[in-house]
Amino acid sequence: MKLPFRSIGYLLASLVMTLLQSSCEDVIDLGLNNAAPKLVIEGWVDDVAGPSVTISKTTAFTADLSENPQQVLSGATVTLTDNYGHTAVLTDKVTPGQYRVEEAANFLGKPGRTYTLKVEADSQTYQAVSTMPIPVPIDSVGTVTSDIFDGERKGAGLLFTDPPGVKNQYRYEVWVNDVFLKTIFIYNDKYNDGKTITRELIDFEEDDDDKKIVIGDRVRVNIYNIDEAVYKYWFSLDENNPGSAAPGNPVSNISNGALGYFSAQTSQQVELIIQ
Amino acid sequence: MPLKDANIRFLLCITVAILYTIPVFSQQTYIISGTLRDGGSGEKLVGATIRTDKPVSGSSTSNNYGFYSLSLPQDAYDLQISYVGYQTVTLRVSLDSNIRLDIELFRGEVLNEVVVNAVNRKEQLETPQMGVAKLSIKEINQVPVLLGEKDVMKTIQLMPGVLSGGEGSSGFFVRGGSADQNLILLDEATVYNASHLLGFFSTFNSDAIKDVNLYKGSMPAQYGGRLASVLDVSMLDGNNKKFTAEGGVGLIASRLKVEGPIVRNKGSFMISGRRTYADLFLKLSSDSSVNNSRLYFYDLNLKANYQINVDNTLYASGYFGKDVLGYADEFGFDWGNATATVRLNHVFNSKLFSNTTLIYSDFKYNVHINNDDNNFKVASRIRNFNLKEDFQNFAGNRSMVRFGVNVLQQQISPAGIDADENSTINSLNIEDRKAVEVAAYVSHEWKPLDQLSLIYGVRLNSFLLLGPGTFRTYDADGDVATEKNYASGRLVKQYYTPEPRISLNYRLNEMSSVKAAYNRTSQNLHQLSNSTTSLPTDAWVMSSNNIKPETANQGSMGYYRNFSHDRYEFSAEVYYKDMKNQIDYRSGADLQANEYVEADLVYGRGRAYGLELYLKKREGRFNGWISYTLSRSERQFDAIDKGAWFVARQDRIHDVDIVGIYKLSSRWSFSGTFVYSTGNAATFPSGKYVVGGLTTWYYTERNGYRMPAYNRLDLGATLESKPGKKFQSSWTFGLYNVYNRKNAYVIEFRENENNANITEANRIALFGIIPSVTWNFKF
Repeated sequence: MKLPFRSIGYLLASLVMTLLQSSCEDVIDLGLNNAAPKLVIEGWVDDVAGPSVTISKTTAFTADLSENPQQVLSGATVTLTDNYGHTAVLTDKVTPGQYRVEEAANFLGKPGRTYTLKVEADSQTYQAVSTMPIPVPIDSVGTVTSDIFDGERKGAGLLFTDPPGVKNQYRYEVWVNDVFLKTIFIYNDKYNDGKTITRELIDFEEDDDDKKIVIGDRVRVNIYNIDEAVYKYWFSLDENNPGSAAPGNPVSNISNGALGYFSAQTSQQVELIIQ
Repeated sequence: MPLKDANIRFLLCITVAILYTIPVFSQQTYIISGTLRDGGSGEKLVGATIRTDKPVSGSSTSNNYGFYSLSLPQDAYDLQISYVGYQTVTLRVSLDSNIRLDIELFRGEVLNEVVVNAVNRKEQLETPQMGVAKLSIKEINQVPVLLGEKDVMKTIQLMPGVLSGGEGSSGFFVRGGSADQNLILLDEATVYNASHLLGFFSTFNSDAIKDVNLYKGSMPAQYGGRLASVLDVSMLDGNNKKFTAEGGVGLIASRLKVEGPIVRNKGSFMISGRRTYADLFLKLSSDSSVNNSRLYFYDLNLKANYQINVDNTLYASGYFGKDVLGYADEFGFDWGNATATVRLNHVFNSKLFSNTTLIYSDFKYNVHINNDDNNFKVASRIRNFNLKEDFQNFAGNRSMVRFGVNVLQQQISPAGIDADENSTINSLNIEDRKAVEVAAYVSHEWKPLDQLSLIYGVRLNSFLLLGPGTFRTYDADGDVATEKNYASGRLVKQYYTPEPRISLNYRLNEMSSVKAAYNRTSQNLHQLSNSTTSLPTDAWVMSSNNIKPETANQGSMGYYRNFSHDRYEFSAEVYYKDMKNQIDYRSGADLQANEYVEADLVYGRGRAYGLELYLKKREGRFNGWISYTLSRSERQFDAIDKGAWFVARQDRIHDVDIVGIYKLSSRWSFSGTFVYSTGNAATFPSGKYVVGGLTTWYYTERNGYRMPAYNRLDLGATLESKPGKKFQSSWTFGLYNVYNRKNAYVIEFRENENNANITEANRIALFGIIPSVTWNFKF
């Protein structure tokens, strides 16, 4: 539950700007620096598919990724171990930069286990630890509608009961008619531990009427239960907005200054047609 | 200026001898003291000067309550009493005993459209006080502002060393300090959140204001509690002669003020209110999501005073303001300040003046949400009770001592959640924090030589953090290291801060002087904000076992000069300030409803330095000022950028403000303001990468970039009704941002709408050219 604090600022700002009807915007060139490329690791192990680790490097702000795709890093040594002594080696034989195990079924994650990722690349070693939480089952799925302040917006609603007495963190990925919604949906149970909740996945940031979710749209949601450190990664990424006094790189659980995160997470998928 | 008998009335039954010269036989010293007032309204005059024709005897300046005291050898004198904008009065006084002399001054005649500006012309050369910005209500009313709402806090931003908090904002930064380092006082009560509607309007309705002083350098010892500045605003006392009303109708708000005597010449009241009505237009909309919305704010200022007898005057004043935002029954959000001040002025004798003040002030906000299964309320409050006892001893004409004590009890009730049992939200209670701050001060203003004057003193501040509550310490990773419970009233932590203050003035000649000052300040109340806009929900924390008091040492020097018969004044000041125990946050800090919030704080130091130039033409058809500030403000935190120094967000190298006012005729006057400043320091990405299907920005250093430079021109025109009638009205026209400059409010980094492989910086400007019109009346 993000309400009420973070939403209030946006709400106030958008309301005042709507009222004054005089804000305007344009694209400008700020002459941003091109920093030396930095290693980025995005890795996860889940309970339905084999582990995945993507290693790449940052590019210039002005880079066109279609002409000059994100620099992948090939040839790194990537190992994954759990606290029961299982070890897997991940390689990028199929797609450079995307490290996988040979037989996915041999290394499915189990809730409650702690996983350690070790990456050796560019003669540096990076390490991260993550514990896979117990998954929280979804009771039902439906359409939700919000009409506060700026008109009607529809989205997917997930009904579930948060397990009481433990900290639970949730991340959602949403596809609308198979198009990925580039919005971060990140929650914990700070405000509703143990409650039965309807999680409303509504995209408040989309202002283009043609792109808003409407009746008949097919919405698919991936539901991840994540640990606290990974929650912090997404929370701190989501905190960066144009009004931040000091935006920064999200808080990573990977050592040695790498960007990105490593998450042991449970995964569920639901689908619905917006009513 | 000739003596105008008709204009001088003596109040009360005081024996005053206005006789012919009596020969002097002894050198016995006597004291003349009393109160200086406006003859038209009875309003007390602050900072008026009373001096004699004898060069040796010196002068006195009336204090904040119009009181003055002058010690003179037995003799006959021509006393000259003068005040800016008033006719100077000369009185023949023969002094052979201590006398009480209350004097009324009358507003200056308008001669050839040139307002008579009396003596205070040399004030900046005479006082040892430096680093002070004063604004008259007249100036505030002439400067064009956004949407025509006259605003003390926006006009003060046009002074050197004071930087605007942002586009259209009433917030400000003083000499490299942050916004929460300004102490904002209204009749001595702390105003915790001095702005309405995201900061676009200040809580100060200029109709109700008498006097505004901003201390940015050598802070007098009677003030304390904030690092960077004190903005001391006092309300009008009210007219004790006759009933008057004035008001105005503007684009976004209407105002009305009524004042008059409670008992003629003995007591008066003033009530002033303002309300915006944007929401009234919302009702007209056919869109239900708009016409169900609420959005307005109001302010109410009240003041009354009553002169119990010659030696005792009682004042009561209050302020109440609120912003309301809501949508039907589903969502409501309101916030506001309340202050109350009760004060007794007591004159012990002709030399000793005292003030006993009891003050209450609070700021709170409330949110309620009612939709389906989400019913809950959020409430947060900060409040204080403050008892002050201040004395002013006019020890001699060259010597004045101030001393006093101040006991402040402060309580923070952080935002908590109060939810229905069947709501999907849990109630959440964050412990209150209580503290008592006791301060004592003494300062001596002394003029040992004709060329040399100084103020030196010290303020001793003690901060006592009290239980009840659970107090924790944290390790380097921000995890709880120790935890301890304290019973109610138990002392948890105490801090003592001695704060020496000294300033010197050396008069070089009739037209110029140099000054130097050193002072130390401390701060035990800190505001946590990680956005560029100040929000009413920004949390407050006190000094604690983890948070040490912020302290600052500032040294400054200045050169002051008047030109062309005092028609022009010029000043140049330089300063250097170091700041300790500054507060910042870890990445991903959760600053709201977080009982472990202190674990997310990091501490460091700061330094700020600069040069401030100010040139003012104070009279004539054409008047105005130019101010220029060259400054730096830097911070260093071990936890940020590996401990390297970085520039603070409000670091603006150049800041220029030009204000011009031209009086064309008795009815038309025009004004213009031009501002230019270097853009704020900002953190922009120096690269990008994709994680989780999202383009993510790669940041390499804090505040390593700049927003585009800011500049803007505003114009205003005022048409007064024909003079002489009882009912006076005027029209004020304004144009904000005349050349429609797109000043960046924020910069958003995003993927190109049509091609996600390309990223771009999108500048969002808040206000283009905005016209305004206001109609004002007075009778």
